[in-house]
Parts: sequence; structure tokens; C-alpha cells
Amino acid sequence: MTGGAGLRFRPIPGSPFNGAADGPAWDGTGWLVACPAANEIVRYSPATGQVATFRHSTSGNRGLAVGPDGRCYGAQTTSRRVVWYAPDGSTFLLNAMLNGRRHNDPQDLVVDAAGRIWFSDDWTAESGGGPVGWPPLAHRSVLRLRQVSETGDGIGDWVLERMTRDTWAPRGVALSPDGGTLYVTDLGGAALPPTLRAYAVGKDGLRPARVLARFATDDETVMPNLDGQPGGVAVASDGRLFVAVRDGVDGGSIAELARDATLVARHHVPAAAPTNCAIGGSAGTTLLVTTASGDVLESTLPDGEVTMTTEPDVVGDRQREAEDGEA
Amino acid sequence: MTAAAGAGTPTSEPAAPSADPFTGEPVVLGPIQDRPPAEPAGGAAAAFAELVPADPVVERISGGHLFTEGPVWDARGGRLLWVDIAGDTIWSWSRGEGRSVAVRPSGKANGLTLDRAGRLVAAGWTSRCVWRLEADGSRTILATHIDDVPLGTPNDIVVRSDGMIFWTDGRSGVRHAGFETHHDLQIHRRSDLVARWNPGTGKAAVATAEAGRGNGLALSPDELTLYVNDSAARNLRAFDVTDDGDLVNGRVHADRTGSATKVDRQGNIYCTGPGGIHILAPDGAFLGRIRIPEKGSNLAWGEADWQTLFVTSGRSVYRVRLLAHGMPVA
Repeated sequence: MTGGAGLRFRPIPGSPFNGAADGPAWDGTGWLVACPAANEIVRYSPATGQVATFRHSTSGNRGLAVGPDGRCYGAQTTSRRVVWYAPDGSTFLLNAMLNGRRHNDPQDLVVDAAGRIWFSDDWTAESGGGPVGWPPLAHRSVLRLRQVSETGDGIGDWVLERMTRDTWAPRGVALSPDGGTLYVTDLGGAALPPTLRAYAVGKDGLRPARVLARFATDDETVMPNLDGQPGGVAVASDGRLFVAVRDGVDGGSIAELARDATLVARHHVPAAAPTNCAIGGSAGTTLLVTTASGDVLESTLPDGEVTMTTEPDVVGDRQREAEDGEA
Repeated sequence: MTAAAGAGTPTSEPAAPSADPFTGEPVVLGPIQDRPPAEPAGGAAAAFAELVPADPVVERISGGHLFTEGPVWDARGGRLLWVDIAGDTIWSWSRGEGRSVAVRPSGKANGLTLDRAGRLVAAGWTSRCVWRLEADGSRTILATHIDDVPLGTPNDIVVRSDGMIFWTDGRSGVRHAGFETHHDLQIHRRSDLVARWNPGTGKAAVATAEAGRGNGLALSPDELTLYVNDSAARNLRAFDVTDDGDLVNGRVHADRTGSATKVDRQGNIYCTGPGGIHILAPDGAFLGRIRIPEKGSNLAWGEADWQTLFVTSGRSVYRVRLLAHGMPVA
């Protein structure tokens, strides 16, 4: 692994955008980027250099994800819902309650190979919940939407399941290339540092979390111990992790972790604090970074580093060891 | 309530119940008002005193709702209709018979009014249409699009005497968690509208796109002016109304108003607003305020003499008798 070489960031056309940017997702030929404060989603086509509005009036949409069938899903944070942005320009609710209750404010989402939508369901001050004040859930978890039947309108019938039981303020979500590991950044709570967590995905749910990194803790024994606060996370095809980290004084950085979760590098982001990141592009080697200032930056991961691995899943072994140790 | 039923409350009025019949909560009663300074003589205080009795009594006629809106007096039926949006129900109330369900489901309708034939006309809000309730109980969809672009979320609605229907066409109906219907949640126009529906052609059109986040709306007694509450700017805008139903010469008519407006026969303006019902002279000058216990959402004149103002406010519906005569509906 020769990772750690400094990444060079360059703004995409149209950057900076209006208000904070978030939720980058590659749709096969272009990048989708959400501007939640501006209630807008823009689309950037690297082939043409064109930037256009993909959707306006987006109810504070933050996270975006594209499924294996090409469907684009969004986390409309201030309206507390996950939606399907249909190709004809309309937008539909994926209507599902959790044990009869409305979920919280979805932040980030990712779609697995089976088309299931995993999303971080934090509670923020952004959603008043409407005039009735729908109460928040008693927990802030990663939830999963699963389609249970087709419907004639194409929206489908969905059920909602709670996947994590140990998160406090989940933010970024990502899946390993083989779908076997869910990565979650969690902002923590008053007595809990922010963490990067990994969960082995089993048939019946998630195995207990392995904490890959803690942020902003004084505990010298924690490795790696990263300053700052995590945002979104992206996984390269070789298993390396890229975590958007807001670290105070001078904007922030992208923390690069090897497959064994050792810290490889902190790539300084020459803009305001990064909010999220994603890997895509026609060659699958572009890292796109969104920031709190609306700057959207792209960087090409060096040749040869991002390749699909066929090696045994040593991360999985390490996780199982860690789980046994923490149990 | 005997102590509160002072001068200005007709003695023929039956006593209000001491507890809400639906929730058991005590009924909140007046006297609740903010009078302007008595000086100068003949100023706002004198004008206010001609509209509001010395001790107005605010009576709760219905409670236990989730989100009330859209009150309208049905003179033919001698009843008040209003909608509980979250409860997906249009309710009916009359002094003799109390409360009952009039229409359910309501499609999360918001503003209600009646046309000249007395038919209920609803701003469909999250249903993204304007619809009419026929005498046989069926519903007729009057408008779903303007120039092939889907409507926003029709919020409040008023009918001119020639049958022209005006409504505010905004986006609030797709923002609130839990109010979604199966409809498209995408707002397709960049700007909110006041829209109109022409009974001659059956077509909807843009009346103006210059009303900000238009919410409540009302016609002046001569129907030459349309008032619109801008929920974002918290002000009341006024427009000249053309015969064709276009809204022109938009201007800010009053500041610090809330979400809804009605007018009386003299053209005085009644708006929901901070702390209660704000009463303005026809020129927009603030005259005074009637306090109500909850944040008001909308207003309606009603009862046989049109001297009662009904107020929807979140979980309840209130009734207050005034000296002013409201503009009749239908």
C-alpha cells in the first residue's frame, strides 16, 4: 500500500455552491451534490463540464445515493423522509413507519446490492416536525428501508427496520465493496467521543460494532485518535476508507485509513470543513469532497491504488476478533 | 362565565360550557383584548370600539384536534365547517347539534370556502388540487395543473361573486413530515403563486407570482382588492384585481401579520397574528387586537347575523361575538 500520497484537490465547475454542500453520489455518468440550505441538488457531468440543477425545492435534502438499478434516493432532512427522485422529475415518499412511528431526520444514505437503503437517522434542530410536532424516536439509529412488493406506480411498498442499537448521533454511512461491512460515523454525545464504527452485515442484522477510530478524545491509548469531528465516509474498491473530518481552525481534512483501519494520511482540504465524500467517476478513481462553505472539490486517487481485491477478507477476521474481545 | 358576559355580549346567547365536551379541559374565556390608547379622540380606540365589544368573550367550541384550519360558515346549513388537516377530517359544528364529521377523509385539505351555489370548495393542500363537493356527496376536481405544470399545495381559497376562484399555491404542504399523500412531493415551480380558476373556461391560470409565500387571502368588499398574507415576510400584501382575475399593482399593506385574513363589510381587516387577531383599518392602520389562547391559523365570519368570528388555532376552534358585520360567504 502506497497510500498516503498527498491528494490534490481542485474545485469542480460551479464551486462554491450556495450554502453547505453534502451528500455526493456518482450516478454512472455524473455527480449529484446536495445543497441543503439552498434546497437544491446539482448535477455535474465531468464529460461535458456542465453543471445543472437536478432538483430544487428539496426540503433540506442532505444525503444522496444511487441504487444498483440507477434509482436516485435522497434524505430530505427537514421533512423527515427518504424519497425517490424519479426520472420524470417527480419525487415520491418511500412510506414506511418504524413500529408505527415516524423516523427522525435522515442524514446520509447508501444503497446495497439488494436495493436496500441504509440511512443514518439523527435528530437535529432542523425539523420542527410540522405543526403537529411529531415526536422524535427514543433513539438515533441507522435504519434500513427494504422494498417488500412492487406497485404499479413504481414506488413500491417498503418496510423500515432498525439496524443499530449503539449509535448516538449517526451521520455518515457507507458499505464495503462486498457489502459485508457497514461503516458509520457517529458524532457521539456529551460523554462519548465521536467514532468511526464498522459492523459486519449478517443475514439477520448487524454484528456488534467494532470502533475503528475515535475522534477528539484525550485518551492516548486510543489508536487511531483523530482530532475533529467526522462527517461522511467513503470506501474505495480496495477497502481503504476516506472520512471527512472537520477539525477546527483551518477547515478540515480527509482522513485516509487502510483496510486494517490504521491511519495512513490526513489530506488537508483547502476550503471550509468537509462534510462528506464519495468515490466515483467513470474510472471509479475520483474522490469528491463536499464542504460546509459550498466548495466541492475533486481529487484523483493515484493509479493502481484503487483496485478490487480478491484477497481473503482480513478485515472481517480482525472484526470478529475485536467483537469477541469487546463482548 | 356570568362575570365575563358583560356589556357587548348579547343576552340571548346561551352560556358556554365550563369544560370542553371532547377533552374535559376548561374552556378558556375572555375578557381578552388589547385596546389602543384612547387618545387621540376619534382615533384607533374609537374605531376599535365600534368593532369589538368592551368585554369580548372567546369561547372554545371544539377541542382535541391536531391541526385545525379552513373555517367557513355554511349559511344554508346553519353550521361552521373546518378541517383538521392532520386528522384528515372536515368537521361541522352548530349551536344546537354540536360537532360531527362532515367529510372524511379530507385529502389533507386546508382552506375551505363556498361557491355561490353553496357548494364547498377546498384548497386541497397535500392533495395538490382544488376540489368541490357536490350536492350528492361526490367530489369534482377543478384544477390540478397550470399550463401543464402541477399545482403546488393549494393553501387558502376564496371565491369572487362571478365564480372566479382564487387560491394561494405554495409549497408548505410538501414540507411537513406526516402530511404526505401518495402524490408527487416535488414542487415544480420556482415561485409560489396566487392562482385562479375561471368558471367559464374551467382553466386554472397564474394570477400573480409576486405574493411571496402566500398563505391566507381575502377579497375586499368591493372585490377590487385582494389581500394575501406572506408567511415568510410576515406581512399583508394587497393587489388590484382585474376583471380577468389578474392581480396587479402589488404592495405591502400591513406588517407583522400572521397566516390568514378576513374582512368585514366596512373593509376593516382581521388577521391572525402574534398574540391573537389583529384588526386593521381598511388602509392597513393597526386598530387593536383580540387575544386568543392559541396561535390562530385562520378565521371565518358566521352565524345568522355574520357578527361572529370563528378562529381555528391548532388544536381548537374558538368563537367570539363582535359588533362588526363580517362579509358573508356564498
